[in-house]
Amino acid sequence: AVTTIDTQPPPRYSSSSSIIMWYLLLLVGLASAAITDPKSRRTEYHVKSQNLHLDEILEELRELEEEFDERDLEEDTKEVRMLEARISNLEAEHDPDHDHAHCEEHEAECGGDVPECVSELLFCDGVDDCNHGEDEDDDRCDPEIVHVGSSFSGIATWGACENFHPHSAVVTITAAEQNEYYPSFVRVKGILSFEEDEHTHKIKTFQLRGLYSFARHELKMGPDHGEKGHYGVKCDFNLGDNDHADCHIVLSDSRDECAHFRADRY
Amino acid sequence: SEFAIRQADTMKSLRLLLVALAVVTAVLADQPSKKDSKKDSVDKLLERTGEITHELYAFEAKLDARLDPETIQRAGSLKHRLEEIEDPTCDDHEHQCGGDDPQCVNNLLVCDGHKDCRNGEDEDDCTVPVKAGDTFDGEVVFDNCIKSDPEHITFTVDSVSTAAFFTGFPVVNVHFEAETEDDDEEREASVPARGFYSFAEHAFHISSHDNMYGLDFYGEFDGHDFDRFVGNFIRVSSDEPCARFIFHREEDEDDDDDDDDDS
Repeated sequence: AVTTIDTQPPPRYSSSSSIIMWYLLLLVGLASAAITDPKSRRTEYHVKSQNLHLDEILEELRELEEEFDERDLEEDTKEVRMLEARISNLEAEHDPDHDHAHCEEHEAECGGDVPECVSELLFCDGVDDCNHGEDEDDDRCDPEIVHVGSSFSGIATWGACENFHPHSAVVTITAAEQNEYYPSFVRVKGILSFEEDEHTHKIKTFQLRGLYSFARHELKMGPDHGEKGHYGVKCDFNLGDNDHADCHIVLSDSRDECAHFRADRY
Repeated sequence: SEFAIRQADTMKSLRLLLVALAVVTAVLADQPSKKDSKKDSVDKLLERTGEITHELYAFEAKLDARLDPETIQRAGSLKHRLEEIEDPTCDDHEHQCGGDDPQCVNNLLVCDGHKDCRNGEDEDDCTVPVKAGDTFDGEVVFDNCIKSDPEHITFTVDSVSTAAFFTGFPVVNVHFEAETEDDDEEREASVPARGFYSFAEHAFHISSHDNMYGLDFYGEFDGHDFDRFVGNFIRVSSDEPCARFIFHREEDEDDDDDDDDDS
């Protein structure tokens, strides 16, 4: 019961409208209560604050990553391989028990953890001859290393034979054939060319032929049939991959070294 | 005019009522969608949390890859090979502390419980890398002195004991086993022997016992990889290595035997 100060009975027409007004108020109250339901507002608030936490974490993570990237030196596996190869080469030269680890002529190292020598003729012939089959290793027996068109070049430093200044020398493979009955070697033909004068840019070229030995990772070429040239080339692929070699230009008859170049495939 | 007012009043209140109704229905209609949006925002929150967690794991993996003990050990072994090629930096019976501040200390002082290196390296790593029961399989490199000419020799640790007052040189009991094939029979020889392990050299010194046929045995780890050592049999009379085997740790019996042994 609503007590009104007004003692006069309220006019009838207003009763309905006042009821309506009350209803209205009630409904509006309900509606507003529904809108501003404290529970849902709390949820929203929680979600917001959690999102802010996440933002903060993400930002911290980004900062850490940035710091890490500044210090990050990617381990270059290729570089590591080359380092290992250089150490191996030194070990072979330096080994105090040379006589035990070093192979006879026409033999080659299997290259596993346990030193072992196997005849050069048994590498890449499809039969395991090393104790752990290193002689048939796919990487080792990949004839791609001297595929036709392969070119190896570097700056040749002449120590004997000719009085040339250092200039680029190029060895290019023009033919390669692997005989199925003689699979340990690839027969190759190639061209050796080098500049002999930096002013005239005169270039000497020599037709060569020879063999690539899987066992030794070694390319040896001498003058082709009927060629008058007296130069040959010996390239050692002992630098850890198939794209770098240690090459020498030699006199084909005496095998004396004339020039040396570090060759890269290009 | 009163009627007019009443009309207007009623109209007003009706209009108000309508508005109120509209508001209420709107609110009521809003209720389920509000529930949905609540669920949505929580889902989004979870999704974001998942994404960030994923990123964190990826970052952690990058860090772990840097700290990978196997990589560190491989690098250490490579370094050791280099050091082997270089001239020795210390005398025969001395140990190189290493680090940025090289220093030589006598082998007898390594792992004696007292820091002798300025960087403390001599007391850093003093746990014997083998325990009783460990077995290593050795593959021949060359052999000019072992009677049966075996391809493989097994090196088994029987016991390791450290004297409290002389911790740098634990005593080890081991035995060697070799299978030999004569033309007609397979024989297995087992030879017990004893010696000590030297922390300074990361090596076993097994002394020529009566049953070692006058041979000493020296098995040296590279100091980083403790799953492999080079074993030399040494003629006591000439002090020359006359046989060498490369030993690899054999996995425990109860482990999955998936190493490619072609024995």
